[in-house]
Amino acid sequence: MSEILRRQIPLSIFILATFWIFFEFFLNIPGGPAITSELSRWVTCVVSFSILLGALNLIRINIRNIAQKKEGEWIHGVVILGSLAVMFFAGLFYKPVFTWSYDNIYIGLNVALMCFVGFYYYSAMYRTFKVRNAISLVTMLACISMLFTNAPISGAIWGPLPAIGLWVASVPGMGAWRGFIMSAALGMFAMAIRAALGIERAYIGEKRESE
Amino acid sequence: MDLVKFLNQMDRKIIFLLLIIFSFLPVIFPLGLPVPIQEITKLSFDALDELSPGDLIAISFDYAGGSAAELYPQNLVMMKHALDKDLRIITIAFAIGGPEMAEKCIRESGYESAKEYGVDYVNLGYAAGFETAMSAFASDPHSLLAKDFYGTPLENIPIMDDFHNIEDLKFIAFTTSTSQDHYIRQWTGYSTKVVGCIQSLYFSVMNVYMGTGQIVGFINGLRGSAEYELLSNHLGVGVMTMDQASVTHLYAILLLVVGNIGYFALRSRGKRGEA
Repeated sequence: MSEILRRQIPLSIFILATFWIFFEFFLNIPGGPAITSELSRWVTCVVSFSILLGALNLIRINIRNIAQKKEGEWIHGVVILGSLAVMFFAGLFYKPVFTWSYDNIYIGLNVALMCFVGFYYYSAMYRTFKVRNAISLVTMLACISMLFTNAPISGAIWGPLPAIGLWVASVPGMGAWRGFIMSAALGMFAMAIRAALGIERAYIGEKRESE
Repeated sequence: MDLVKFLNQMDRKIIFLLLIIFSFLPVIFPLGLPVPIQEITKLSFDALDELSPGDLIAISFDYAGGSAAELYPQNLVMMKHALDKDLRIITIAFAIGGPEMAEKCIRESGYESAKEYGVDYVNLGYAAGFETAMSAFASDPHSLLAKDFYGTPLENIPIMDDFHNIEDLKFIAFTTSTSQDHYIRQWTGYSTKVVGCIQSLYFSVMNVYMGTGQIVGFINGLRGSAEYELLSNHLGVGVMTMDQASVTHLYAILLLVVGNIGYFALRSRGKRGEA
């Protein structure tokens, strides 16, 4: 692929789109909102294609695993492709089957998976959450206060108990999150400027000089 | 058996088994503890409750089955409340599993049987593009989507004639299992009241946006759902699971304490051994 196609065109599109969206937001450009709206529509189209690409990739990988009878994987491939086919055709041609499968199989399995994670949370709380220093003590106290706040029983144990957790979340917790959100926003802004100026090119597959 | 060793090396299976027992016990022997209403839930409830019949609201369903246990009851009770208030609803999803959750909620809340599709409610389905799509939904939803979830062109859906940008909505609730920053960036700053439906772990984050006044309230996990159910008098999964939440939360605290008693006992034994 030529340098222009591989690098210059994607970079130019990105830089132009970024500057347009940025300046259109702050300046009153006649007809500007309509162009921005159209650009947003293009993004929706591109993302829709990426979903299709993901589905095709899923099919390709699983067909390969089944064809090669890959140990411990091919059977999962059969289940994935079978489920994909059932949901795809049911969704297109017979909605009741799709709805029933979604409500009674898909949601149930997803919730079960999350519940398994819940069990490991409890195990991790017992095994790993040790008070080794002052910071871990503070973290643990914050954790316990929040657990009490979310459990309605805490008010019955001791009236002011839920308020402690609320205070932790609303004062130190909120302060910490504000700092985090602001620093993340500044980081994103710096990243956007780097990308808009063509310094950051990882999104077109280029590695940094240090890599 | 050596108690210190037991406290430090309790088998994972015992922890799991006790969790199952503590989850089921309140179902068999309900505690019936009161659920105090938190301010954040009351404010969310009031924001919807003070609307007039026929007002247009929107709810986004940005989650799939995995988070449904915590988020779906929030949406369900909110939609039941909206039905009581005779509000018109637009549902949309920015996550791919969302439209089906919206469809289920419309069915189970009673909208499907009591109201007319396209006139009183509409399911717009999935809008790809996440934050870009949220932005377009707020500024020009007709440019974002050409059809609803069932393939009907938007120009043939009467409710959409009244929705041209976010200012046409009196109330909008986002439901998400991930970060909330996108919604805050794209949907706040307008006259529309914004409420978040979130998982409990994002409690502190949402407090930030409450503090700035960008959202009017939020529903905090199943606990928030239980409170909303009590406020709207539509008791459901939230209230049912509160006793379980109490017992399992206490169990979590107990595990933390036991684990640390074992840890300190072992450490002091080590120190004595060294001496």
